[in-house]
Order: sequence, then C-alpha cells, then structure tokens
Amino acid sequence: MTYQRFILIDDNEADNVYHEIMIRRAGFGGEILVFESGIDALAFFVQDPLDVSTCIFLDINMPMMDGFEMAEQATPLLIDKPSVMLLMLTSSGSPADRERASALPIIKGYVTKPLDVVTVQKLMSAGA
Amino acid sequence: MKKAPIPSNETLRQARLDRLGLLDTLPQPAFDHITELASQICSTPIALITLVDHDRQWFKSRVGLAEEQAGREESFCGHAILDPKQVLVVEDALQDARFSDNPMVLGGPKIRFYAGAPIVTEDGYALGTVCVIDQRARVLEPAQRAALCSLASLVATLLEHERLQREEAKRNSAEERRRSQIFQVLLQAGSELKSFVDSDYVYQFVNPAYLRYWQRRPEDIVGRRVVDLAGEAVFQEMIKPRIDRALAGEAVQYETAFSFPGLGVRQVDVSYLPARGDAGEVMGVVVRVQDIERRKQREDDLRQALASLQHKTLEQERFIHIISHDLREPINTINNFAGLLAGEPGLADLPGASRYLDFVVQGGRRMASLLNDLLNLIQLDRSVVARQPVDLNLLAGQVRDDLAMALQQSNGQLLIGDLPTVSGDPSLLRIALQNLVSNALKFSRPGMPPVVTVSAQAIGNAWCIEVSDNGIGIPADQLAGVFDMFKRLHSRKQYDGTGLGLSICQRIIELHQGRISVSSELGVGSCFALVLPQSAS
Repeated sequence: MTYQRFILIDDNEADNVYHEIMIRRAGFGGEILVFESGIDALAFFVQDPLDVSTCIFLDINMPMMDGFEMAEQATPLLIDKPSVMLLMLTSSGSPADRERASALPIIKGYVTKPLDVVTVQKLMSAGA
Repeated sequence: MKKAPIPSNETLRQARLDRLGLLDTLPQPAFDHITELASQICSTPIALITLVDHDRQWFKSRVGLAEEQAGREESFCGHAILDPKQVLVVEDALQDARFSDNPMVLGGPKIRFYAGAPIVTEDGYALGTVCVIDQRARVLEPAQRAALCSLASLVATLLEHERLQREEAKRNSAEERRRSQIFQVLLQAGSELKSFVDSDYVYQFVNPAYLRYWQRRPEDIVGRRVVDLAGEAVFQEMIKPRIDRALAGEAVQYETAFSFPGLGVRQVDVSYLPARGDAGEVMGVVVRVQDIERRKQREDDLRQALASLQHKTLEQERFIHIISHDLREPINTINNFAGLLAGEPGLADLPGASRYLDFVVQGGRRMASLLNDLLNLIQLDRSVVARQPVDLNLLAGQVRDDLAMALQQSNGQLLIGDLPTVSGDPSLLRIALQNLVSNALKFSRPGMPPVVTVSAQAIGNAWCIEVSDNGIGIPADQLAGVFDMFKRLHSRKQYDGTGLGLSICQRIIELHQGRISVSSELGVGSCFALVLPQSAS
C-alpha cells in the first residue's frame, strides 16, 4: 500500500512549508493536507471516509490542544482504519514525550524535526 | 639511779618518731597481738610496746600495766634505745647500779626483771622497744631473746607500713581535693545551666549560670523541692515524668522554650541525665539546660537561605527548559530554509549570495549544535544516574547507526571489539560514546580515512573502555585541558565544534562514578579511556 495522501497537523507555518517541500522532493505527487490546529484536523476526520491510504504527521507543541490530546480524541475515529498511519513529528526529543507517545496505541511512530527526504522515502517504501 | 641518757642522734630520732604520727593514737589489734605474744613467750605479766618521746615513754600497747605513759628519765627503755642492736636485759634490777633506786623498781610496777628489744627503723633509728617486765628476778632464755627481737622487727615493719599508708591517704585526699576543684571550675564556667536533683525531687546543687538565668540566690533553690519552685501543674506534666525516666537510668533530652526573667523567651535544649554512684545505682538527676536561641536563629536563617536558593534554582531550570524549547523552533526554521535557499538554482548568479548564504547556514548549524550541547550539560547537572545493566555491544551498535552519515562522509570505519555489560544509564552512556566516536571521525588526518576502535579490558572490579583513533592527535601540553568546557584546540575553519563535547563526556562518566582520561601522540592518534564500574549482578 503506498500512501496516497499526507496530512500535516502543526501550528508552525514555516515547518509546514518546509515539510511539504520535503515530501514533494521525496517524489510524492499526491494530496497533501495541512491543518494548523488539532481541532481543525478532528473536524476533518469526522467527515472524511478515511478509506484512502494516509500518513499523518502530528506535532506535539500546539496551543489550546496539544498533539497528545488530539491523538487521544482522534483514537475512536482512526483506530480501526488500517489505511491510516499516525506519526508524531516533533522538535522534542525528550524521553518523557517518547514514552507518552508509545503509551498511545494510535501513535505508530515518532520522528524528530525536521522531516527529511530520506525519511519520507523510507516511509513511502515501507508503506508499499 | 642513772638517768636514761640522750642518744647522740636524738634530734633525727625524734623527727623519725614524729613522722610516724603514732603518738597518742588509740590501741590497735595488730600491736596488741604482739604484746600478748611477748608476754606469753617470755612468761611475764607485763609486756609493752614503748615509744620513747622527748620527755616520756608512751605505750602503744600494753599488757599488765594500767598507765599509758611514764617519765623518760626513769625509763628502762630509754637505756635500751642507746644500743639499737642489742636487747637490754636486766635480770635483777635491785642488783643493777643503774636501776637499784629507780622509782619504778622501788614502787609502782615494782620492776625486778626487764628485757627490751629496740624497735629500729630501716635507717637505724631506735624509736622505742618491745619489752617484757616481771616483778621477780629472772633470766631470759635465748629463744625468748630471739622472739623478742623478731617481735621488735615486726613492729618496725608495721610502723613503716602504717606510715606509707597514711602518706598514700594524704596524697589521695590531696588529689581528690584537686579534682573536686577542677570539677567546680568546670561547673561554674560556661553558659550551661546545671542543677542536681535528688530522688526526692529536691534541688541539691545549682551552678552560677543557673542562678544568673533565673535571677535567684542559692538559698532560694538548694534544699527546696522542684514542685515548690516550678508549680504543681508544670511539675506533674513536664518535669516529674522526665525526672522519673532519668532516675530509671534513661537519659532524656528535648527542646523547648523557657521564659527567663529579664531575658525573655529563649529556645533551650534540656537534658535529664541519670547521676550514678560508685556501685552504679542512680542517686539523682543532673538537669542541664543549654541556651540555643542563637543556634536556632542561625538554623532558621540557613533554612530560609536554602529555600530561597531552591526556589531560584527551580525557577532557573524552568526558565532554561522553556527557552531551550522555544529556541529550538526558530533555529530549526533558519537551518531548514537556509538549506533550501542554498540549493536554489540561480543563486550562483547573484554575486556573493552563495558565500553569504554559506555563512548563514554555518551559523545556524552552530546554534543548533550549541543548543544541544548546552541542554545536555544542564541536564547533567541535576542528573541522577538511573542504573541498569547496559550491554555496550548493543550501545556501540546504536552509536554506529547514529553516526551513519558521518561515517559515510568521512569514509571512516568503526571497529567494535568484544564489549562488556556495565552498570549505568543507557542514554547518557550513548551520548558519551557518540561524542567520542564523532570526535574521532572528525579529527582525522587529511588523506587518511579515520579508523575508530572501541575495545574493553577488565581492571580489578571495573571495566576500562578505550576509544582509539588514527587521527591528528593532541599535543602533550594541551592534554590536560581537553575536558575543559568550551575548550577548542582548532579554529572553526579547521574543525567545527562547540568545545563542549568532551566536557559532557567527562560529566557523564563522573556521574557513573567512573574516570575518563586521554593519551595521545601528535600525528599518530588519540586514545580515550573510560573506567566504569562493573554491572552489579
């Protein structure tokens, strides 16, 4: 299964721009959606059929609703959708955050910023 | 009658006699036994132990004679002492020119027979005699003469012993007095309040400090009951239970506050200590009160200072934590887009653009690097090493993965030997090893691909892990300072770096109760040795 869609959830515009460039440079030509808040992303998930193979990059440090809160709230929506892969993409390398991530079954991986082409390519080939 | 002559050594002899301190003392059993023996052995009704004084003869012990003393001039013993080595025997006084008209012969005890053996000191002075007297003329058997001599000798020994004992007692009592004086001084000196309470809860002693603090006179306290001075309630609740525990042999101590007249409320440390007699029985309680007001004040100040310091430290840590996270984002942004820009085609057309951008990129990278190192260093300050068994083989493998890019770019090799399991923090050890290997790859000789070897050997109950390389080496005079913070031996142009890497390594190894050291040869290579404790298994 190759990813047909990438979703970026991050309140930092500069990071979103950069990550989008990286994903394109890795050779991805499909849809890239960007949400600047967890609330907006949740609203999207509620009304999307989620039958398209999707890779979601979720930041931790966001105002009002941080990445972990968002992941918890998204769990009932995403947990039994095999086509959806949720990864943390964050500048925090702290062991505490890593542990918290591994405690949530919905979170399938942990990547430290910035996202680079090599990582995206690996992900895409793993999903294949 | 011939008067008893005065011996030539009379002055010294008298001094010897006086030194005994025996004159006019009460009869003693030991001496009485001797006169009894003398009387029995010689079969005489009268036996005496005589001491010849200035102008009298005084009888320490007497059998058969009522008088305690008699005159010296008419004494037979006065004659006897003239020849310390001889027993004076007068078989019939009436026939002896010296004594025929002696008042003690004609009257009184009516002496007819006399035999006296001189009591002689070690240095030869005759103090008196052991003598036997009869009222009829007799002879003295040789055996009796010998016995008399022995008895006289015995008396001399007894007297000497007595003298020594008396002097010993005097010395002891002088010593006692001196010690008692010292104790007095100890009690008076100092600011501790001391009092002695007996088993009836009565004050028997208070020291000057006590009187000073309570503003009382000795007669107000000594001999008075504690309850009368402290009040029934205070006595029953606070004092009596503690005194009782001390009387039972337990030392009781507690802190409280007393209000002293004129002085106000002071924090005090109170002890009730059992006072034991010679046989170990508790005969009373020493109550000791120490004014700790000043000490308490200082403790309070210290506690405040500590709390303030902890508060500041916490604030500082929060501050650093927040800043470090907040700094990371913009640094990342700069690096990300500077990198992108640097790769833009057409950049080369703008004069200077490439070069300027290069500086930006470098600066950005250095910021990121410095931030990482600083954060590591600050974490280490508060770090408590969470120990677990760490398989260094696995760790070295992880480091190899971490440095995959650097290995590729430098065309370098990482050779990992047979490494042990040690006790420590895996993430910290990983950082340390990563720093060392990364350095080894960085400081390679131009044209010589870096080869880094990690090996281990056991030293005692510790492991020595060595990271050695074939790089440029470190000059001997710089070796000592390589672990200093921000220490760099090269310009940024030659080799980039923050100068914190080795400092971090050292801090990590020290947290593990280990040691790090380096040996190196310029142009050949360096070897960093880490000594770590073995895994507790």
